[in-house]
Amino acid sequence: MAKSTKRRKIIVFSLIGLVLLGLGGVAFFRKREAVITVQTEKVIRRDITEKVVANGKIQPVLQVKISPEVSGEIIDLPVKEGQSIKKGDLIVKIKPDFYLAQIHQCEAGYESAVAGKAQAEANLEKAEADFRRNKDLFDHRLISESDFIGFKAAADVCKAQVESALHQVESAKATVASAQDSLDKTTIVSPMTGTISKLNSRLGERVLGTVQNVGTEIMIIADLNEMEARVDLGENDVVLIKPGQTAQLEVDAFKDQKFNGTVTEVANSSNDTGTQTSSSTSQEATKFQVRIRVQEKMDFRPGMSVTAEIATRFRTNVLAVPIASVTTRLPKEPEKKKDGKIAAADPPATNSMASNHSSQTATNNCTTNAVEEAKSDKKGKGVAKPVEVVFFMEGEHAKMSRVKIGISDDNYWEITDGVKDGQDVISGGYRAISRDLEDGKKIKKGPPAGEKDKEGQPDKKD
Amino acid sequence: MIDMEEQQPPPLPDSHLKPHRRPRMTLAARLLNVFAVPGEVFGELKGGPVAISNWLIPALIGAVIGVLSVLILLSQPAIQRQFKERQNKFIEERVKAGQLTPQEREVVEWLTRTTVLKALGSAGAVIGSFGSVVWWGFVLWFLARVLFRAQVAFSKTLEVAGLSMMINVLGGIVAMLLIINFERSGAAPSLALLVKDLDAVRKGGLVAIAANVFSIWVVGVRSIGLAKLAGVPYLRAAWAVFTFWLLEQCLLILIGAGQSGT
Repeated sequence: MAKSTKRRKIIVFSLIGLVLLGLGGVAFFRKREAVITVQTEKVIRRDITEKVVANGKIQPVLQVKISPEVSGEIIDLPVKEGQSIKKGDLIVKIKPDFYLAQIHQCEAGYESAVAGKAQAEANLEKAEADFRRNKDLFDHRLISESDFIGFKAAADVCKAQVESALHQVESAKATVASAQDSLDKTTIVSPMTGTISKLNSRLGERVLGTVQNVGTEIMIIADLNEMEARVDLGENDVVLIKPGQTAQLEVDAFKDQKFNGTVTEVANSSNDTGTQTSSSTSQEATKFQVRIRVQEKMDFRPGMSVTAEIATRFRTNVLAVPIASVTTRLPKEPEKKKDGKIAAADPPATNSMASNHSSQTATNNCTTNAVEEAKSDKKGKGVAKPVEVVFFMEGEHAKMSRVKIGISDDNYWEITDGVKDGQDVISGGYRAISRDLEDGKKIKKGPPAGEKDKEGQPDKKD
Repeated sequence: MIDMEEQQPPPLPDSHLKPHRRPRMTLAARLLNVFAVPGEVFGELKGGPVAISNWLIPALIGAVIGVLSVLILLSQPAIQRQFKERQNKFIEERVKAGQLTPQEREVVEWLTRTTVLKALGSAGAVIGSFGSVVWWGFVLWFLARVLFRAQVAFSKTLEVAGLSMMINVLGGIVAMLLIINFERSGAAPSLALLVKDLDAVRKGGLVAIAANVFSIWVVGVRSIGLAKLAGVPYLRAAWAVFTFWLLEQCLLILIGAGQSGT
């Protein structure tokens, strides 16, 4: 009995000792995993409007460059830059002396042609009379056939001369008209009602003008009532733009105001198409011009700088997460194609996401290790492609979830798959999301890194 | 010649005729032996004099261990975080439901500050330790008197409750070590250890917490004590004590009070 009691005591106390020693040892020697401080935000439904931002200039919708069709000295320039003018108002007068002389010369030529025509008609009359007379004689065999043919030919020649004289008269007449036209062109009137937006020439300057080619640009007349923003977009963004889309315009000269606009025209070709030189092919970004009609009437001047935000796509009531929440990670196993081969590496997804925010903050890049791995295996081994993920806070651990993204605005990404309403998604800090966080890592909520000095540790005041 | 009657050996002293009696266990021996051989401890207790130390010392030890546990656990960052999250969730739900005014919210937030919690927790540990001993002393006395019609003194049942308290003390130490290792406030030597996100407010969570190894152990030891004091078979005493304990736990779970291993 005593022996069994003693044995029981030994067993029980040994067990208790082992349990206490074991738990105590683990508690003492256990390495504690570093806890990452994060900030979170709830996933809620939002309206998202995707915008493309571009810079450009304000220009009039309608503007005309005035250049002369005749050359000469400007003798009258009754307009100033910025002046409003109406259609038909005199704007430039060129010295007409040369053209007046030309008219006189042409008129003299015309008179000469008319006199020549009269002479030819008189000769024709005589030749026809001789022909008629000699025809009778020939019919009565009183003259030889050769004589008769001679008279006939003379009559024909005179007819032709009359015809030629007629044409010469017409030609002289046309010359006179042309000279008159040139003279008329020394007086230039405004083709439209508008404002002199630019005046390049001055009184007394000589200007060059031709009918076939553009001459000296004397001035530009523009209708400043209808203005448009002409902005340049990159090739990745221009495919999203369509006529009719709305835009918000911010003109540097009117900082406190925002203006509304509508896209009216999207260029089919890039700005440098047809003007490429050997030095410009690959260095400059490819830009396409987009025209946006400004709806408000304001004291805009051609050439003012403008920034346009064009609303390209929008979604209503969709699940959205902060842009900073979305990052990329390599999946654990490489993706395989349907034929069983492993997919080749593609450029990381963040490049396309970054280009969608031409002037916005890009999403977090994938880890440098992931990029280097993808680059090194690009040639053929087949590596996993980084995928878009977000991290949720589940208790004290981070849970990684692969997501499918849609459109985005300045602050939020639309998520089409992979999140649920009300989930706590990790939205900061930047380093944690882009590098440190992995599935299952220990996390805690806390202020951003820069604010720690002000707030201190939790319960510090306790 | 020698007288044979005179040659008889002298009579043996009386002490030789009395049966050999084991010396009484010291208090330390009683406190330790209650883990391994509770029957012996309570058997000796039944015939012995009333000893206040049998319940006072375990209650004091329990209070000290309880206070230390509260202070150590509430100093753990992980436990503080978990507690704050639960507190915020609790407050938000109540405020949303309109059950908490802004003034009441401030009071709740003040009461749940770490220093206040430590003070309240320590006081609770002391009161709980002594209260548990007195309560179970009463329960055992009641069961002996009413159920088994045994004339058992309250002081004796108090001693049984006090000595069996040592098992709760060990359970408290083990629970504290588990909480530190797992960094979860619900970690305990019970089914709660298997539940990842234990919600101690829900009934299911409370049941998991109630299924504690040490709770069951201490109820078994109290049953031995009752059996010894009341002079009834162990199974009868165990049936009574376990039934009472189950009813007590069910009531506590129903009212959402939970249990702390008592």
